[in-house]
Parts: sequence; structure tokens; C-alpha cells
Amino acid sequence: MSENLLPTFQEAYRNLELLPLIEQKDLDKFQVDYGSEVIEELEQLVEDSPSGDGKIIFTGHRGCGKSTLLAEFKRRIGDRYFVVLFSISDTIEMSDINHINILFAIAVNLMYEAESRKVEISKTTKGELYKWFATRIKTETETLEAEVSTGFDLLNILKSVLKVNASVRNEIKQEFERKISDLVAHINGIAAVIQTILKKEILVIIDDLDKLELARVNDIYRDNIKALCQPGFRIIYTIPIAAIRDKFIRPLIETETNDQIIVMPVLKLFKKGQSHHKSEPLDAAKNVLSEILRKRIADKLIEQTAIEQIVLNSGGVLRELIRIANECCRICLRLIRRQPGEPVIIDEQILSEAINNIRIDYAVRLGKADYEILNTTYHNFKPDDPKSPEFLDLLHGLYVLEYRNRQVWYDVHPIVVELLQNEGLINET
Amino acid sequence: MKPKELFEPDETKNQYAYDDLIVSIQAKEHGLSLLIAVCDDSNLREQIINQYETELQPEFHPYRVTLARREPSLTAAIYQLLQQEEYLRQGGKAVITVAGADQLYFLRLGEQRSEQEIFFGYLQWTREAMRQFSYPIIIWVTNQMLSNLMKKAPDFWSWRSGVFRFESKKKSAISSQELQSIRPVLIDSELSSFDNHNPHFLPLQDLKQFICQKEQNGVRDSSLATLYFSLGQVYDRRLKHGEYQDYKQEQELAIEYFSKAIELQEELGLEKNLANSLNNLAELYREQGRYAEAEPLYLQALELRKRLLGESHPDFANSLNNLANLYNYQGRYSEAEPLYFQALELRKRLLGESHPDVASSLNNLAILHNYQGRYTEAEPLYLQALELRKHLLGESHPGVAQSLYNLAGLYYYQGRYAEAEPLYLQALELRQRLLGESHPDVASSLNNLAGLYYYQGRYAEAEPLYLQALEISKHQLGTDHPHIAVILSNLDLLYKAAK
Repeated sequence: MSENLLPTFQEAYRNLELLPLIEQKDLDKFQVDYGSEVIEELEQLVEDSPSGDGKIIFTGHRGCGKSTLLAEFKRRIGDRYFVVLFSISDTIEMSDINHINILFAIAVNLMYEAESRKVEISKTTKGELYKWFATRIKTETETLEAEVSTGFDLLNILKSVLKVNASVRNEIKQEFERKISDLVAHINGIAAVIQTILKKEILVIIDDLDKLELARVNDIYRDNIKALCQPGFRIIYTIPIAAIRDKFIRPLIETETNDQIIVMPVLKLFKKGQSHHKSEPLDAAKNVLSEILRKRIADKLIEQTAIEQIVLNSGGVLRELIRIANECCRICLRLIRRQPGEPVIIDEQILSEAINNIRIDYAVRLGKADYEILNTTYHNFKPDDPKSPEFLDLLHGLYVLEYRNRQVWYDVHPIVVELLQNEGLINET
Repeated sequence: MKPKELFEPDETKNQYAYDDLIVSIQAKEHGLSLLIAVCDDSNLREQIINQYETELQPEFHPYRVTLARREPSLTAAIYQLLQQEEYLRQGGKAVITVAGADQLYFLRLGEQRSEQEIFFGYLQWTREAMRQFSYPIIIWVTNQMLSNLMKKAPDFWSWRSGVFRFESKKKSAISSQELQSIRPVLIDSELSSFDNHNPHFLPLQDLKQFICQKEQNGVRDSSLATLYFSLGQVYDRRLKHGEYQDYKQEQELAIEYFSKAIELQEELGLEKNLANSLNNLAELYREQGRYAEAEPLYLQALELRKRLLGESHPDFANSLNNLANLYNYQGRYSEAEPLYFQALELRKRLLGESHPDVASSLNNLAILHNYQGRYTEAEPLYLQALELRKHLLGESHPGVAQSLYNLAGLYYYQGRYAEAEPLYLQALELRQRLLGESHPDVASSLNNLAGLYYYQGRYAEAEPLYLQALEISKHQLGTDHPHIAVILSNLDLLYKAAK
């Protein structure tokens, strides 16, 4: 068998990319019907917003496809609404995120989007708006006198200044800390201008707020949720899934957003309790995940049973599915490197090695207390205290996955289960 | 030393990791790849980097960036590189290696956030900004950093394209177990959650810096003395277990910290601890061949222990034993012998017949008899010690290696070359494996094995071993160490005989 498998495996390796599908060409190649119920839910909430200013909280496990989905969502409703989708990480330095500069970022990005789509705002109005922005970065006041046609430049400068300049961020914070309503008024002003001209309502989507560490999330959402909900148009905020379970934050969010919380689920491969025995996985989930793999890796490179096993070991989390498959390809590439010309296919043995490698990574940060929590969660499908910070950390880190029927239940990530076995905590045949 | 392959045939894990890294870069060709390489051994890391940079050329141009300590931002570092390199801006294929992460402090040391925390903070926020960099980026971290990275930058971690672990005996962090004795001192500062089972808990440089800051505060109290002593012990342990990065340098550091401990302990009147510091420092001087400097320290430690602990205490026995070792090395056999006997009796009485320290005493006494030419008395003692050590410490222990080496030495002196050879080979193999290829004890083993071959007329086999021993000794011990002179004169004899 001297067929040269190298380029085929290399192609599969490239296809098994972990980053979200944003480019159209990637979507065309790899997109699978996934998450459509979530998109519909989002659409519903957006449309039904009674005064046009509903706030929606969007969350889901890391790696379940949120960013890809938000991009898709934007495409779908982009003709009906003026959608501004931006990542908070693009605009503000992570260590300095607070509710004020989130609001300020909304203002900047609204304006930016309007400029890039050449919304025809009158010169005088533009001048006013830009003046307001320019005074926020007093050190750059030379550009204050610039013509409105370079408004775009101003915004770019502003964006980069916000990102790197701590003193500017500080000034903004100090200025608006006590008069949020002023800031909100300005934001509403920009929105009003755009809405009037385009005759379309505004939807702002802020991605990557779920990347904040939980301590920061507390500060922002717990203490300042009201401020974030003040702007007079629809906003979708992302939040880490662990924060939704926090006993302080949850009720606050429910109240302020009128319970508009959407959780993007991890695919449910098993009914509750079934995963611990040798039962058949649920078809719907299994098929979607298998299809995702099949689009990215040629049939001849992988045994059918291996595909199924990868699906099962993913726990229903998209990125982990891809990671396992990617690791398998890497092992095959290594074998080809050492023994070129030898036949190679992803089989049980290679899969086992791949999963083992990933498992070693999982084991690194687990301490005794973590194992105890995982053990309890495994046996009871929930921990003793689902709101304890230690448990939320494990949830945050994908050691525990959240599933839903009518109720929420938890299961330990399949790859982590063997760690529990090694510790002698469980006996799974 | 002859140049070696990057990995020995039995180092499969490291070989796989290296292969994995290469194929990952070659397969991806374009686009961002975040590759995390883990290695505690800075020498090994350099070798690996050089190897893959060479192998990946000419297709992938190699670049290196170093994280700026004040602003350890990965994005900023890469961005800066892009500004400088036209080739990269044109989209040429490249592999970028990021160095400097291993230098970042884990402790806050008075700042609001530690250097590592700042680094992880930047990493967590990395994806959007990094998307514009369409290259494989290899970030080198230590084992200590890895678990913290996962916790503090979970989204960056989630974007990882691969983790490549390169194992080595060399360690760059201290385990939490080793730090138990200074836990109270550390807890007061910032390490509130002290995980008891972390083998890579605190980077060595952090402890040094922590001590440095305490020194700057000007408070000379017992916790500072404890810190000095602990760091001395850490270095000492690294030397004994082959975990050191640079033998000579770390030996000097051990000496420095024990000396500082002694100074402060004398000042504060912490006599029991003082005895321990004196003893440990004396041991190091002895290993360096500084016998005259070692002796007064041994004597002082012995006096202190006698006064504070009484003559029926294991530590007193240790002091007797250590002083006797010194005399042994100096050829003062008649002074060593009574001390050895006293130590042996004490140890048997206090610790029982089946104790590693008893084995040590037996072995030491045997060495003494060996040097005194009392071979028939030495042999049973050696054998007894060897059996005891194998039983108590397991077959793969430096103590067992030492016993084998000593017994081989006896046979060698008796001209029983054929019986000596396998023991020397066994000891050599053990030491190379347990202590590292360049440990001084390996040099001793090589030297003696060479001596054996010399006496058997196997000159061609002897020479490379002498040369290797010389190389190691020069490198690790410095050119004025007594062992160098010994090896040189052995070589001299060899060349004369070979003519």
C-alpha cells in the first residue's frame, strides 16, 4: 500500500480547525445544521421585544459553537435590523473591563459600524457626535479639529487608544461613574440617528464577555446590571455559563432582563444516567456530530467505529470533538513521518493514544478536592453544592458539562471519567 | 564529548513530542496555530528549538521573540516582530518561537498582579487579536506554569492547537512538599491555597526573589533564617538528585545560602538550626575538596549537637559520621576509625539494624578498611551495606549505586578485576540514569572503570572513559578540584603504558 496518505492527512488536519467558522468559504465547506433551535430562540426574543429595547443574555459552554452561531445569527437577521456584532476583546484591555467602558465600547462600535456601512448621517450631526468622542481622548485633541470625513480614522484611533491606554480608560470611568445616564443618553442619541436614517432598529451583540474570569463577571453583572440594561435598544450580552448558576447573579439577571436567558446547549448524546452504562447514544446528537467530522475528514482515513468513539468522547462539545479528531490526525502524521509508505488509518489504537494525551492535560490541574466534587457529580448528576466556586471552576473548565431536560443536570466529561477510575473512585466497565 | 543525537533511543516520549511538533507545523502551512511546548530544562529547550528551526528550513523561516517582563503580552511581542520583518508582512511561511515565559514570577512580590497573572490575562484575551497572525507560534512554558495557565486563561487554553511535553530530570520548580517547612512564612504573604501535592509548585527563581525582597526590607528574623536554610537545602537536593541545571553554579548557591543561614542563626542564637546549617555547609566544602575549611564547621556542629541534643541522638551520630568521612578523604584513617565505630553503634541502637543510616555507616567503615588495606574485613561490610540498601531503598537508588561502586573498588584493589567490572558498569549505568550524564559521581565511576581497564591492559577502552571523566569534572567541579589532578595523572600513566 504505497498510496501517499501524507497530503490527505495534512488536509484533514487543516480542516479540523478549532477556530470558529466566520469566513464564508469555511461555512460552505463545513457548516452543518446545528444550533438552529438556538437561532430561532434568539430570533424570537429579538422580534418579540415589546419596546424594542429587550436585553438578552446568551451563554453556553466554551467550545460549543457560540461565536459561529452568533455570526450566523447576524447574517440571518441582518436585513431586518442594523446589527452591530463586536468582540469586547477587540475594544478593551481585559484587565480593565467594567460596565462603563462596555457601554462606551457600544457607543464606539455603533458609530464605527455606521461609518463602515456609510450610513448617511448629516455633517452637522456627525460633527457633534465626533466632537463628543474626541473630547474623551483629550490627549489627541489635535484631531478634534479634523473634518468629519476622517471620522473613521478618529474611531480607529479611539479604539486602539481604548485598548492600550489605561489613563484614557480611567478618565472615561471617572467621568461617567456618577452620571451613567449621560453616557446612556449619548448612546441612545447615536442609535436614534441611525435608526431614523435607516428605518431599521438596532441590535447590538457583544461577544467574548464570557471570556472574563468569574471574579470580574461578578463585578460587572452583579453590581452593574442595571446600567448595562439601560440603553434604549436591543442588546445581546454574552456571559460565562458558570455565572448563570451563581446564586447572586442569576436572580439579578432574571429580573433585569425579564428572564431572557438563552443557554446554547452542549449536544446531548445520552439521556440522564445512560452515559454510565453501555447504552446507545441518542441518534440526533450522534448524527450531527458525526456529520461535522465527516465533512472535515475523508472516509478512508478513519474507521467508522473510530468516528463513533470520537463522538462519544466529546461529551457533545463541538470544539472537543474537533480536538480529539485533530489529535488523531497528528498521531497519524507522526507515524507517516517515521514509517513512510506504511498504511495508516485512524483506528481504536490511535484514538486511544489521542484521548490519553488529552486526558493528561485534564489531569494537570486537578487536586484532591476537585476529584471529590467530580466523584459526587458523577454519581448524582449534580454536585453537593452547584453554586460552590470550586464546582463552577470545574464547569468553567469543561470538567463538568451541563445538560438540560426540563431541569438542568450535570455529567462528568467522558475523558475525565477515566481519571476518576484511575483514582479508584468509580468502577465503570 | 562526542555530540549526541537529540534524543536517546529510549527517550520515546520526547521523540514523539518532537515529531508531533514538526508534523503539526508542516501540515498547517498557513494560518494561526497556538502550540504550547512544555519543558523545565533550559538547555534541552535550546537544543530542541535549534533542531526544529534547522529542520523546518528553508520552507519555514525561523523567528524568535522574547516576552518583555514589564509587559508580557504575546500579541504585542508578535506585533512588534511583524513591524520589523517585511518577510512576515508579505505572508511568507514562518515559525515563531516565543521565549521568556519561564522567567516570569509566579509570586506577586508586592505587586497587584504577578508577572504570570499579567501574562495569562493577556493570553486569555488573545484570540481576536491573534487571528491576524497566520503563523505557527510556539510558546515555551514550564510545568509549573501549565496548570496555572489552564485556570487563568481558559479560553486561550481552549484554542490551543497542541501541547508538546519534553521531559527531563532537570526541574525548575520546587514541590509543595519540599516547602512544607517554610509554609508558614509563605502563607503570610500570598499563597493562601497551598496545594499539598503539587510537584511543580513554586519556581526556584521566585523563592530567590522572595528572599531578596525580605532582605531589602531589612528585617533579620528567624523566618529569614529558615528561608535561607530551605533554599540551601533545595539546591543541595537538586545536586544530589540530578535535578540541577548547572552543577557548579547551584553548588555555589547552596553554599551561599547556608552561609547566610549560619550568619543569621549565630546572630539570633538559633543554635539547633545553626548546627544543621554548619553541617550542610561542611558537607558541601568537603565535596568541593575544601577539606581544611570543612573541618572546623564539622567540629562546631558536633559540639553544638552534643550540648543541645546529647550523645544519644541520631543527629549526633550523623555529625560523627560526617567528620569521620572528612578524615577518611584526608587519609587520616586512625582518627576516622573510632568515630565511625561510635556512629555505627549509636545508629544501630537508636534506629535499629535495618535503617539506611546503618547501611551508610557499614559502608563507610568498609571504605575505611579498604583504604587501610584491610580488604578481608572490608568485604563483608560492603556486602552487608549493599544488601541493606537494596532492601530498604530499592534497586534504583543512588545509595545502591554507591555501594556497588565501593564494592567494585574493593575488588579492584584486590586485583579481582573480572569481578569488579560488572559492578562498576552497573554503578555507572545507575548513576547516569539517576543523576544525569554530567554528574561528578558519574565522572568518578568512569575514572575508576577506566583504571580497571588500564590494569587489564585494555588501553583503547580506557582512554575515552578517562577523557569523558575529565570533561565532566572540569565542567562541573572546576580545574582546581583534586579529582582533576587524579584523572590527569591516570591519563599520564595510560599514555606512558600504551607506548
